[in-house]
Amino acid sequence: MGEAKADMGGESNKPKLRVALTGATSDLGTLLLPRLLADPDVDCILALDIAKPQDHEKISYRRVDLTRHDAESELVEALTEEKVDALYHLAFLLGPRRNAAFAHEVEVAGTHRVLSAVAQAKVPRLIVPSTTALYGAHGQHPALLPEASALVASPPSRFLRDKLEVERQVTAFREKHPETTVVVLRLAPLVGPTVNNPVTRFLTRKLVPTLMGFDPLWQAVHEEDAARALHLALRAPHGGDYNVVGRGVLPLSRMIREAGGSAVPLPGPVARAAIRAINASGARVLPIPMLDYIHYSWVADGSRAESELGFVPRHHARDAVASLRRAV
Amino acid sequence: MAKGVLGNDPFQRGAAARQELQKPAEPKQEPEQNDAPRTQAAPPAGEGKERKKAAKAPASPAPSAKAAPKGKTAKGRGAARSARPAAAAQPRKPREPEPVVDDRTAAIGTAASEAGSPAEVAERVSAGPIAEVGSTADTATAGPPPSDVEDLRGAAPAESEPEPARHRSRERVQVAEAAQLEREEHRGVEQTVAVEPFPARIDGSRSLEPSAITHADPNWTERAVGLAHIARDVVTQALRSETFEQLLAAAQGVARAVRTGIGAGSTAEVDPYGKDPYLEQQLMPVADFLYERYWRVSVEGAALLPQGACLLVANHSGAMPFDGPILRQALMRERPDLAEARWLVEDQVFHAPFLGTVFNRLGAIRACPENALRLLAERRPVIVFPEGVQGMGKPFAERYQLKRLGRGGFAKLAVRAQVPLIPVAIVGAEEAFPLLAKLPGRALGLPYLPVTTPPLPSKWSIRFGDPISTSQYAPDAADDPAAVQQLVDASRGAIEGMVSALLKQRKSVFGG
Repeated sequence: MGEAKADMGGESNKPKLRVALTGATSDLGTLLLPRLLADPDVDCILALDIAKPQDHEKISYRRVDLTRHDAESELVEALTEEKVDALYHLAFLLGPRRNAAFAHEVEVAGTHRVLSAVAQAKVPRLIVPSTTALYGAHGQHPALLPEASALVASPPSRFLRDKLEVERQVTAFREKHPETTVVVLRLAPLVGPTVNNPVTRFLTRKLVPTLMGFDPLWQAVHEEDAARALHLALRAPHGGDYNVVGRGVLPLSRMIREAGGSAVPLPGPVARAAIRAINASGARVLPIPMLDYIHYSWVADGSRAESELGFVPRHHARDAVASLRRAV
Repeated sequence: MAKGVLGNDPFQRGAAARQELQKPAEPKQEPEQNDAPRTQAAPPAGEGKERKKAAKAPASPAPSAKAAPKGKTAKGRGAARSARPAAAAQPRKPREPEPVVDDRTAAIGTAASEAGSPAEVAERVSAGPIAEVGSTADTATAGPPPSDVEDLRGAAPAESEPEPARHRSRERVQVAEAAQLEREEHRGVEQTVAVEPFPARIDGSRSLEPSAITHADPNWTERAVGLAHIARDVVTQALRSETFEQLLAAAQGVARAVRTGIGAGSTAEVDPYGKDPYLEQQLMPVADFLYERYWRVSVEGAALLPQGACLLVANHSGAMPFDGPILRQALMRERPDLAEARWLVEDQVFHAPFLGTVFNRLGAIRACPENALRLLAERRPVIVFPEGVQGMGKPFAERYQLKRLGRGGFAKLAVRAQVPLIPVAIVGAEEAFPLLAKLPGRALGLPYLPVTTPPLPSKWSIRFGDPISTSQYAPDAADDPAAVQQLVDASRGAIEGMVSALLKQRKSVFGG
C-alpha cells in the first residue's frame, strides 16, 4: 500500500512501532490490520482477541476474552512483555445485540479492564473508536457539532448508553493518566461494502419509513476512510477527540435513494407505528428510541481531524452509501 | 381542390341569395350597413387564408398558435359575418332544401362541442355560413389570383381599426369557434369528399347523440385523427411558448419544493448547513415573480452595506416567515458583490415540518450563537430577526409595532465577532400575511398554527439603515449588559424610525 507509505511521510527514521489491538477480528480491526501490516514503521502487531486473525509474520496472537474476570491480568502481561507503543481498543460491537447483558460486559466491563491494564502496563498511546451518534440528534444543536459538544445521546437505548459509558471511562482515564496519549475517534455512521451495522441495515431496506415533513442531514464515513483515520491516529501529535466524517452531508432521503431503496415519508404517529410493527416482525428497521436521528440533523464538524490529524476524507458520503448498493 | 369542391356545393349558390334576403330582414343591424364594403371584401380575405391553409394542410393541419393572431382579423370578420346569418338561420330552416342527413354534419357539431364550445345553437349553426361565406366569395371573385389575396389580406387589418369595440369583443368570442370549425372544414375538404357543411339538422342535441357519433363511418375516424393532429399541434405550439416554459419551470420548482418538504425530495447535494443550490435555482421563477410582480419589492440603502461580515437586524412581521427569503433575495439582487447571505430562523420555524425542511434547503439556518459565529467567520452577511416568533405572532391590529428584540443576543454576537449591525426595516409583509387567528399546533410541533390569507399582493419596501459600528467595544464586552443594551436600543430606534418612515411614505397598502 503506497498510500500508507505516503501517510508516514519522512518519519521512517523514527523507531519502529509495536502496536497491539484488542478485537483484531472486529469490523474495524479487519479494516485496520492490512494498513498496519503495510506500514513499514510498524514492527510488530499483537492481536488480542478471542479469534485468531490472518497469519502473518508481523502478527503475534494471544487469546484474550475481555468478558472474563482474569482478562485484565492477561492484558497487563501481554502488553508489558511486548513493550507495546500503542494499543487500539477495537473490541466493540457495531450494533445492538439481543443479549444486552453480553454487550454491556464486552463494551463497558471490557473497556474497564483494558483501561486498567493500559494504566498498569504504562502504554504510551491508546486509540479508541467511538461514534458521532453520541452527540445525539437534538433540536437545540448547532448546524455543525464540534468535538466539545456535550455527549447526550438522545435515546435511552442500551446500545448507546454503553457507548456513552465507554467514553466516560476513557475521559476519566485521560484525566487520571496524562502520561498516556488518548485518541478518541468519533466516527460518523460507518458504511461500506464489507461492514454491517444498524445504519447500513436501515439504509439498505427497499422501503424505509421516514418522518413526513422532516429530512435531516446525515453523514457517513466510508470504511476505507475510517481505517485510514485509525491508522493516522497512531501518529497523532496529541491526543483528544476527533470527529471522523466523510466528505459532504446528505439529506436522509437522498442517502436512502443512493443506497438503492426509497424513503416512505409517513406522518409521525404512523411512522412510529410502522417502525414498531416492522421491529415486532423480527426485522429490526430502527429502534424506536432512535427516531430522533431521522427527525433532527446530526452533523459533526470534521475540521479538527483534518487540521490536527491530517485526515482528509477521500469518499463523499454519497459514494460511501452508494457502495452499499453495489455490495448488495 | 378545395375550391372545386366548395364550388360544386349547391348550398353555396343558395347562400349568396340568402344574404340578399337577410339584409332587409334585420333592420336592427342598420348601423352595420356602413360596413358593407368591408364585409364584401372580407370573405375573399378569409378565403385566401383558407386556401393558403389548405395548401399547407398536409404539412401541418393546424394553424400554429403564433399564426393565429395574424389570421384573427380575417377570421374574426368571417365569424362576425356568420353571426348575422346565424340569427336568421332558425326561421329559414324549414325552407332549406337539404334532404341528405350527413354524418359529417353531425361530426361538425360534435367537433364544436368537443372543442369545448358553449354549444350554443347559434354558434354551431354558424358553422355552415362560414363555409358558405368562403365559397360564396369564391364564386363571386371567381378565384382571385394569389396576389389579390395578399392585397386583400393586407387591407383587412387596416379596416379593422375603426371597428366599434363591441363588435370586436363579440367577434372575439366566436373567433375560437370559427377557427376550430374552419380547420375542421379543411380536414373534410382534404379528404376529397363532398362536404355538406350547412347544419340543416343541427338544432338540438339530436346530432350530438352518441349513436350518431359511433356510427360506423370511416370518415369519422379520419376526422378524429385530424382533430387529434390539430390538438397535438396546438399543444406543441403552446408548449414551445416562452410563457409556458416559465410556468412549467415554476411548477416544477414548486413541486420539487413540496417533495423536499415532505421528505422525499430529489436533493442531490447540500452544503454543510443543508442548503440545496438546485432547489433555489428551480424556485427562481417563483421567487422572481413574487419579488418583482407580486410584492414589487422596492429596496433603499443597499449601497450602504459594508463588504464582508455584517449582522442585518430586521423587524419580523406577517404570519408566515417569508420576510427572510425576500430579504435574502433583495441582498442578492441589489448587492451581488457581497458573499451569499444566510438568514437565521427560530427553532419553532426551523423544526416545523415541511416549512422548516424547505427553508433549510433554501439556506435558512437554526438561530443559535454557534451557527451565527460560524457564518460570520465565513465573512457572510447574516440576517437575524431578533423578535422571533413574537414578531410573527402579534395580531394584525399591532402590525409594525416592534416586539422585544429577544434578549439582545444579536448585539452580543456582533460585539463578539466585531462586525457592524445593519438595521433593516421591512414594510408590506404584515399585509401580505395578516394573522387572523392562532390555532393550537402542538400536534405539529408548532407553538401555534397561524390562520392567514393566501399571500396578498401588498407592496413591499425594504430599507437598509446606516451601519451601527461595534468596533468601539472589545470582543469581551459581549458580556457587558450595558454595552449590549446600548446597541440593542440603537438598533431598535433605527428600525422603528425606518418602519414608521416607510409607513408614512406609503400611500396605499397594495399600490405602494
